[in-house]
Amino acid sequence: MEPSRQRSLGGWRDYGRGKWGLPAIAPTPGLGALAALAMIFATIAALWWAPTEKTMGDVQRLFYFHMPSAWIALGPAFTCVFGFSIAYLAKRSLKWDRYAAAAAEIGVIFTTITLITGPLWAKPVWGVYWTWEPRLTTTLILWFIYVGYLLLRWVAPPGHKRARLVAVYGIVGWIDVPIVFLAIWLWRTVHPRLLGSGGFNIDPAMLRVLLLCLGAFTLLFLYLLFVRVRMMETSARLDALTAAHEEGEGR
Amino acid sequence: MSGLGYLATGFGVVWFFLACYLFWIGHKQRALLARMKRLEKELGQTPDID
Repeated sequence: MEPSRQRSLGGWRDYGRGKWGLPAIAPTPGLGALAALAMIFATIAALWWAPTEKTMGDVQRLFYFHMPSAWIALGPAFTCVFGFSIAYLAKRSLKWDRYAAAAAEIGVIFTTITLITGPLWAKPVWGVYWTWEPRLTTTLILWFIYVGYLLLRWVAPPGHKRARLVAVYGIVGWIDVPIVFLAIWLWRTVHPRLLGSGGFNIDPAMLRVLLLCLGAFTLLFLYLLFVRVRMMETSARLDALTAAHEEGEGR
Repeated sequence: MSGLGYLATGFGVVWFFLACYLFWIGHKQRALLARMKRLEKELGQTPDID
């Protein structure tokens, strides 16, 4: 075995040790600690440091987690699925397929968070949990598209055939991402417009907290992406070992 | 429910979701590694996955 491969294998083998599951989920412990600290700071900033909004009151603080969740889903996560799917089709390496799958899963989680925190914010402000306005409707469609992506991965047998199929789905499904983003400019909507021609349309103190939360969520996304890819690699190696084991028994 | 109630529910849901996801990853990864080590010991090899 070549030396570089021995080093990489030694790396992932060691993550199974220790109590409480911590080493098992920490292939990048520095990034994990940084993401955890950033998320704690983001929570404190959103709940205490951010000024209270005049008309909506304290419930507006949900915005500091609602908007970064939407950003992670639409920006890094689903755009990564698009990019990694193209990378898979170009290189035919299952590594990119695993990255795309991990990004899609994290994207679905953050879209779910967006779809839960949004109505919780909307009820006391708009008077209803849900309204079929363009931003909400396109976001719900996006959620269904990527849940479909995960279901497709789940039902199809693993391998290059599945990777090719979901890569095409991941590229086509991404079309909804710019539609969600542009929905508030393309159609009449009750959703607030955060970005105007002169930059952000919010108070500077609120903007500072928002940027902190965006940074924290981005770090969390990166950490989750790495741990999830690590887990998929472990699972793929286990499948290969199981196949070799069964082959050995069959002889 | 008051505004603070909605706020607490929202933040609670976010943290609960993330905690469950991390717990599931840790739990599953440990189980996978334990199975893999056992098989590796039996077979004496590490497979290439790509």
